[in-house]
Amino acid sequence: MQQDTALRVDSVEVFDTLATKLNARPEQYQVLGDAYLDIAFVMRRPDNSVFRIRVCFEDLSITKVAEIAEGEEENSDCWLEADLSVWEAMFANIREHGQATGMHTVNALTMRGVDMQLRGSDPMGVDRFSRFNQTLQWFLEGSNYDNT
Amino acid sequence: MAQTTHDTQESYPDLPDHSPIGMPLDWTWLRGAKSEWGVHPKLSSRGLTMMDIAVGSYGEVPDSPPHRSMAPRGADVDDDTPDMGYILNKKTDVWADNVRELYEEAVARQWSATRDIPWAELQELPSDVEHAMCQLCTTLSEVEMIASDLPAKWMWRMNHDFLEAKMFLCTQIMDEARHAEVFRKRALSNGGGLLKSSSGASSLLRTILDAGTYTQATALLHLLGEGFVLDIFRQGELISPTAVEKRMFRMAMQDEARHVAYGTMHIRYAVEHDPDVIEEIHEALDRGEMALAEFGTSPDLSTALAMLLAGGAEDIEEKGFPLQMEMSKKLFSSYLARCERAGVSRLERTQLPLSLLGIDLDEIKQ
Repeated sequence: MQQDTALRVDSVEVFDTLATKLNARPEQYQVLGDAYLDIAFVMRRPDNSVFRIRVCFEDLSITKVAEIAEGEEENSDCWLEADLSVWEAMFANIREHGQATGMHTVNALTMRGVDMQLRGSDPMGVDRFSRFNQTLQWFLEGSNYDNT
Repeated sequence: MAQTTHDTQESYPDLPDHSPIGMPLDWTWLRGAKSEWGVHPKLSSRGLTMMDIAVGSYGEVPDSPPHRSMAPRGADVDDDTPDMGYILNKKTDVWADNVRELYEEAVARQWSATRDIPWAELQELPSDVEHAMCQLCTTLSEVEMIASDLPAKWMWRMNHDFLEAKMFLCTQIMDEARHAEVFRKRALSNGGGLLKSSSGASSLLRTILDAGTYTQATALLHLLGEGFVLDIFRQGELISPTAVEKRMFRMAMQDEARHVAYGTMHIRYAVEHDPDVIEEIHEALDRGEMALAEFGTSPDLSTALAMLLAGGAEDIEEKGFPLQMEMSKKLFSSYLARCERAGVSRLERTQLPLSLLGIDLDEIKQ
C-alpha cells in the first residue's frame, strides 16, 4: 500500500493493515503486555453515512477486524466516535510525525469530548480504554506504515 | 468426585518412620493428604494464568473460610495450625469477580519508570510551565503512596483463602511505588524540584487511611481517590508540555484504571452479597467527597493544573480555568457513573456541587 493513497481511513483495509502489522510483530508490544480490549471506531462521513468497525485485542494480537452495522458498537467494551475529518487529521498527523503528537492521540482527542467522543454502555468497558490505552495508541500509530 | 492422594494410602509401605538421626518422619503428604489430586488445567494462549488454575476445588473461593491460617487454599490443613488474626474473613469483605484477570493484567503490563519513559527527550520549558509541572508532580508523588499504604494496612488482616485479591493488591502496591518514583523523577529531572505540599492532600489521605472497614477504605481509595487521579492522568495529554510527560501520564493511567476496576467491582460484589454494607459505604463517601472537593480545589493543585491546561501564565483565565471546569465536570461524571456501576448510587445523596459543575444527572443514569 502506498502512503500517498493510504488515507482512506474509513475502510476495512486500513484497519486490516494495522492488524496485520501488529500481528506480524507482537514482540514490539511485549513491553506493554497483553491487552484485552473490544473497541469500535465510528466515523461520521460528510454525506451523513457512518462507517463503523470493530477491533478486538487479545494477548499480543488482533483477533478480529470487522465492519459492523449501526448499533453494534454497543456490543464492544467502548467505542470512539468522531467526524471522518478528525480521524483523517489524526492519521495524517501520525504519518507526518511517526506517532501522534499534540492533541492527536486518542486519549487527548476524547478527553474533552469535543472532537471525539469515548462512549460505552458500561463504565467498566469505558475504563478499558484507559487500561489498554498505550497498546491502542501504538496500534493506531502503526498507520505510519511502510510497505514492508 | 475429586481424586485425592488417598489413592496412594497403601503405597510406599517400606518408607522409614524415623530419619537417620532419629527424628520422626511424616509421609502423609504422600499417603493420603485430603486435598484434590490430579488437576490438569488447560493452558491459555498466553501461558498458564490464574484463571487457568482456578479448577476444581482450587477454583472455589469459600464465602466464609474455615481456617485463619496462611495455608494455601485447597491444601490439607492441620487442625492445630495457628490463627493468624485475620479479621476480613468473608468473601464479601475483599473479593471482586475480576480480580484474577486484573492480577494477570497487572503482571503482564508492568513497566519501568527508569527505562520506559524517554527521559532523554526532556526539554527546557518556560519557567511557569516547569514550576506548574513540578508542583503537580509534588502533589502526585505525595498522594500516590496512599494506594500502597492502605492495602498494606489491610492485607495482613485478609484471610489467606482470598489469595488472588491479596496478590492483586501486591501489584497495586508496586504500581503506586512506581508512580511515586516517576513523578519524583520528573520533578527532579528538568531543572526544577519539589514544591509545595499542602494540608488538603494530607487531610484526604488521612480520611482514606482512617476508614473503619476495608470496604469503606476501598470505596474511598479505589472508587473516589483513584478515580479522581485516573482522570488527572487522562488529562495528562492536555497538560503535558512534551512527549515525556505524555508517556508518563499514559503509562500511569493504565495502572490506575486497573485499580479503579478492582474497587468498582469489589464494591459491587460486596453490595450484591451483603446489601447492609451500602450505608457504611455511603457514610464513607459522604466524608470522602468533601475531603476530595477540598483537595481538588486546593489553591496549589488547582492553580498548577490550570497553568498546565493553559500552557502558561498568559492564558490562564481565558483558557486554563475554563478547561479546568470542563475537566472537573468529566471527572465527577465519571465518578458518579462508576458509583452507579458499583451499585452505590450517589445521585440523590452526594453533596458535590453538581449543578455548578453542569453535570447532567440524566446522562449518568443512562
